[in-house]
Amino acid sequence: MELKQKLPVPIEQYWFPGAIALILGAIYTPLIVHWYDGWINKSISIEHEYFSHGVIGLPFAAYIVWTNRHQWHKLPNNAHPLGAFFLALGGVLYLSGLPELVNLSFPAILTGVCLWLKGIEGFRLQAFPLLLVFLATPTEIPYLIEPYILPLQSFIATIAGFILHVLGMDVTVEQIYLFSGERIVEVAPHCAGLKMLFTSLYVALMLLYWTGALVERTKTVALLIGTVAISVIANIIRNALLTFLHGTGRESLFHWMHEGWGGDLYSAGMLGLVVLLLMWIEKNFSEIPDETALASANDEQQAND
Amino acid sequence: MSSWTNDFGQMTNKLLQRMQFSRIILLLFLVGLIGIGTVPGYLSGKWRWTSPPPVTNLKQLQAIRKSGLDIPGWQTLTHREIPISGHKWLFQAIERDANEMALLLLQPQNSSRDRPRVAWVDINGFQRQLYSRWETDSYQTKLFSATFDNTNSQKTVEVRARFFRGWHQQQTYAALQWYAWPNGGDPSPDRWFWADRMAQGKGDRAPWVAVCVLIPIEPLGEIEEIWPLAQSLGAATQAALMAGPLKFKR
Repeated sequence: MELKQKLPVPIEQYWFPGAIALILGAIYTPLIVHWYDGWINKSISIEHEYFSHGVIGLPFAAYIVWTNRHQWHKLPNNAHPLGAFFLALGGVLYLSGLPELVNLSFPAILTGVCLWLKGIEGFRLQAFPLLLVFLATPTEIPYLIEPYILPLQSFIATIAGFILHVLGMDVTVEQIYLFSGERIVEVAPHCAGLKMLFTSLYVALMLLYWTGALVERTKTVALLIGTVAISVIANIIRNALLTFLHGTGRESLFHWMHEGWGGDLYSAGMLGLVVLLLMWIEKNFSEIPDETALASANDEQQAND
Repeated sequence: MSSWTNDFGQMTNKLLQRMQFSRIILLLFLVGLIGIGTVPGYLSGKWRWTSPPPVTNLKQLQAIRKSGLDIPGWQTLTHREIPISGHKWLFQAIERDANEMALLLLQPQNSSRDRPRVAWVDINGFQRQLYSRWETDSYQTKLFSATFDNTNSQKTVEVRARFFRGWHQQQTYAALQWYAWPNGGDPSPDRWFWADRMAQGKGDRAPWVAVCVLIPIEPLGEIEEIWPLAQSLGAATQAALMAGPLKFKR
């Protein structure tokens, strides 16, 4: 008899989160598989590929949620009405069956579940993984932004043209086109590094969380601004290089750099620079030990709460 | 036997008590969602959300690149398919009288996922490539309405277009550009995007054609003088597209 009474406790503790996870998994696994297929095999659209940082972002978010599980369990059960709102919103989006809306239902449902089970505190605890999921959710936003970054495109074209001119190449720049002899290189929005900018900002965000620097505003702002600068400069150099290769007829090298793994290598190098920048910031911005000590004390207090 | 069911009943009761009302609601909600939204997908192996609804008249849209577009009141002098910046366009020369002629450049949607992007930049690049010089100025936004009329229905739509002057060494043009879709037209892709979104909500799509009308004018002449002609040709082109490849539906 005693044994029987004890039995429900552990079952109750684990079966409910388990059941929720199982159902959410059943609903969203096909969608996430579809996302990954589009990211890895580039089989959906350019807009979808803008969110390919989700390849590492989603597992990282899942990992954070897993490490938060004890804290989550300790939080009091408390249903917030906003949870019902997000769940209803997510439900409507999911049932619409339209590509982008179904995608958006994923972060909406997850947010709703957090708020509905553990209220605002639960949402706070999972805020960062939810942000990672939201920023990795493929939408058509890049399509709507692209027409407005024409100034960035022509800026990159102008600077790249100037660099090549200094290096002794005969290049003329018209708006977003680099003319070199008979050949033309167009600095398209995609090539202008908008995608790379998205990716590097996302990676910067993950790094800030990983190193615990996200709680310090100066470091966060410094790294995000630095990341934008690295991304823009790297793309000027990349476009100058592409024009040089195309203009001088080095076609195989051009394609290697443009669509091949040369481009990926370049991107990886750029992300490496972001990591170096963070290390530099960590070293140079932590002059006031009192403040960091205070911040970590706050962290501990929050964890104990 | 009876004591066993009793115990079981007590256990379930306790479980339900501890579980709280809100948790039950969440479970029921998710089970409902999976039942209505997900199970049909697993059963059929097809997921609706993998692609937007198809564009049903894609074939007719693509066909105008080869066959040209008949514009009532205008005669076609010549037409052919040309590549501009990696996209396939229709080039067509038309005339009304011996002294009124115009050039049309049309890029019809080429696939369900194809959408308006930087057609206007592409055209500038194309002109520059042909004549190594292409200057533009006097940009304005113009509004005109186009009326589509056939035996069963009549519909008037509003079109916004950009109107400007462009020239190379040999010729000056008044240019009128917009993306045309069944219910309207606008030079900016976002207006089309939202029109398409509204249509998708009804399981339909807003197919599109990028339209660029070039009317020759005297060297560096004022484009305002040519506006009445540009407006009537613009309206006729939009109406011809609605009657034909864009398949206006009431």
